[in-house]
Amino acid sequence: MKILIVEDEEKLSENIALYLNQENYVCEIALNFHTAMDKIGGFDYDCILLDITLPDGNGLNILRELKKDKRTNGVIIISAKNALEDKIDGLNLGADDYLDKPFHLSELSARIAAVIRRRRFDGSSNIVVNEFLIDTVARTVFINNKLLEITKMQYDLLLYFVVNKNRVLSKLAIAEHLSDDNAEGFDNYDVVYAHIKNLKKKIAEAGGNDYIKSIYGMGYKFEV
Amino acid sequence: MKLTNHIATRYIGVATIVLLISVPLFYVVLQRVMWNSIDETMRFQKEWTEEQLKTISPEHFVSFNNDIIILPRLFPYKERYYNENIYIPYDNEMVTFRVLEFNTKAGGILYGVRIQKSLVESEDVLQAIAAMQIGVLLILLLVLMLINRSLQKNVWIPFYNTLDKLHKYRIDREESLNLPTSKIEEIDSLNRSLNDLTKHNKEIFTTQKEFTENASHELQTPLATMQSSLDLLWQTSPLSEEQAILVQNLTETNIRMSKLNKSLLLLAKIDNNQFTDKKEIHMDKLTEKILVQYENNFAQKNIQIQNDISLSGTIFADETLMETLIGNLISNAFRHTPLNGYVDLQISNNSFKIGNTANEGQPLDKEKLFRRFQKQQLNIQNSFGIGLEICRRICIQSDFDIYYEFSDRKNWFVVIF
Repeated sequence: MKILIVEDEEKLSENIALYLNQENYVCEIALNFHTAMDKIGGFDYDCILLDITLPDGNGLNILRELKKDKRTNGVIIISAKNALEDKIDGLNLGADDYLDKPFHLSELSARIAAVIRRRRFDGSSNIVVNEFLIDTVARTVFINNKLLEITKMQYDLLLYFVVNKNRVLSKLAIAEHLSDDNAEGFDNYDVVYAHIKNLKKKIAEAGGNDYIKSIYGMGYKFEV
Repeated sequence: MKLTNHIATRYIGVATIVLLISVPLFYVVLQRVMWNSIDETMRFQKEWTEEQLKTISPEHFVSFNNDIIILPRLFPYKERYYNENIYIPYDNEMVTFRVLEFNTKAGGILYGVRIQKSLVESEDVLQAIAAMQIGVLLILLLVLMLINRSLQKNVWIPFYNTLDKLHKYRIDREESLNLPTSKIEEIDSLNRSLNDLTKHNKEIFTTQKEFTENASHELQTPLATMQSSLDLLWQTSPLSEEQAILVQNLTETNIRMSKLNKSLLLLAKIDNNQFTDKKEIHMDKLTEKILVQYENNFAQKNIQIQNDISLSGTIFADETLMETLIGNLISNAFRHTPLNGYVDLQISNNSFKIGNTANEGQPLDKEKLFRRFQKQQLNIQNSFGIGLEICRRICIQSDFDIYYEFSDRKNWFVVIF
C-alpha cells in the first residue's frame, strides 16, 4: 500500500509517515504543489493525503488534475482551514474524506483504512482478525461465524481498535473518535470506559477472546 | 440646542440689545441737540430784545405769541436755560417750554426777561424719528429671522444629512460613508474628510479581522504537528506512569488549545460576515437533529429532557450559524446540568428557550455570564467561556436577542428571533 502525503509542514508529514510506516504502509512525502504534481503524474497511489493550503498552489487544483484522469479515489483532504466551502468543493471534486487539523494519528489511520477498503473492487471489504470477521459494508461483526449483537457505537469502537491494532490508543483519542462531529465532543472519559466494558462483555458472551487490553494510565490496546 | 437656533439667538439677541440701547440713547442725544438749537435761537432773540429795548420801552414791547415776557425786578436772577411745563388755555393742556431767563437794564430800571419756546413741534419730530428707527430695526430683526429660516432649509440640510449618516454608521457593517459633494466649501470639506476617515478605518478593521483569521489558520498546523508528535510519543511504550500522565496532560491541553482556536476562528468568521447564506430553517427539525447527537451524553448523566416544540415555526437565517447556536446552547445545558437533572426546551415561532436544573439551585452571575473566558463554577471542567460568546455574536449578526434568567430553580437561556 503506497500513500502520498501532500503537506507543507515538514515535521507533521514526517510524523504521519512514521506512524503509517509502522502500519506497513509505504509513504512518500510532497512538501509543495509542484512536487505533488510530479508525484501523482508518475504513480497511482492507493491513498493521497492532501493539504489544501500549500505554499505554491491550491491543493484543490491537484484534486482537479486527478479528476481529469478519474483518479480521485482515495483522496483524503487534511486542512487547517475549516471552511465549509472548501469541504464542499473538495467532496464535489471527488475527494473521499475530509479531516480537520489537528487530528489524532490513530484517527487518520482509521480513515485511511476505510478509504482503502472502499477502493478495493474485489469485494473484499471484510476484515478478518483471528475469530473476528468484520463486514465493513454491512457493518456487522461475526465471532466464529456467529453474529455479534452490538450497538453502532460499539461497532465503531471495535473497528477503530482493529484498524489500529497493537497501538496504544489513549482514552482521549477514543473519545474524539466516538464523538465525531458532535459539537463540543465527549470530554467525559467514563463514557469510554463504559462502552468498552460493555463491548468486552458482549464479546466474551459470544465466545470471543479478549484482545482489548487496558494499559494502566495510558488507554487501551487491541493486542493480537 | 440646535446650531441654527444657537446662531439665531445670538444674532437676534445682539440686534435686540442694540435696539434697546440705541433707540433711547439716540432719542436723548437728538433731544439735547434740539434743545441746543433752540437755545441758540433764543440767544439771538436775547440780542435782538436788548437792541429793541434801546429804543422801545418794555411796556410797549410786543413779541410773537407773547413768547418774550419782560417784567421789572428788584433783584437780578441768574441767567439760565431750562425746561418748564406751562398751562396753555387755548389747548387746554400742559405744554413743555424751553425758557431763557436773563437780566437787562432799560431806562435805568432792572428788568427780568423771559424768552420761551414751545417744544411741541420738536418733540413731534423727535418721536417721528424714533418711531422710524424702531420700525427699521424691527424690520431688520424680522428679515434676519426669515433669512435664518430659509438658511435652515437650504444650507443646513446637507449638514444634517451628514450628521444622520454618521449617526447610523457602523464600522463593521458599511463599506465607508459615501457622503456627497456640496457647493458649500465647509460641508464639502467635511464630507470628503469623513469619507476618507471611514474608508481608512474600514481598511484597518478588515486587515485586523483578516489577520485574526489567518493567525488562527496558521495556528492549526503547529497544533497538528504537536498532536502527531504526542501520538508518536504515546506509542513508544513502555512509558512510566509519570510519563504517561505528562503525555496525557499535554494531549488534553493540545486538544483544548485547538478547540479554542477553532472557536476563535469561528468568531472571526461570524464577525467577518462569512455566514450570510440565509434560508428557511425549521427549528424543531434542527433541534431534534442536535438532540440526537447528545442522546448518549444525556443518558449517561441520567438527564431527562422535556421539550415543547409544538409551537415552533420557521426562521430565516444561516443554517450553519443556527446549528452552532442551538448546538452550543444544548451543549452548555448538558455540561452544566447535575446528575439526574432536567433539561427543558420550549420553542415557539419567535423564541427558543432552554432551561437546565441549576447546580445546587443557585442562579448564575448574570454580569459575568456572557463575558468571554469567564469561568463560572470552578468544579466544571469546561467554562461557559467562549461558547456563550459565540452564541452572543451569532445573535448580534442575525439580529436576535439572547438573555439569561433564573426561574423555577432552572437556568434559562432565551433567544428571541
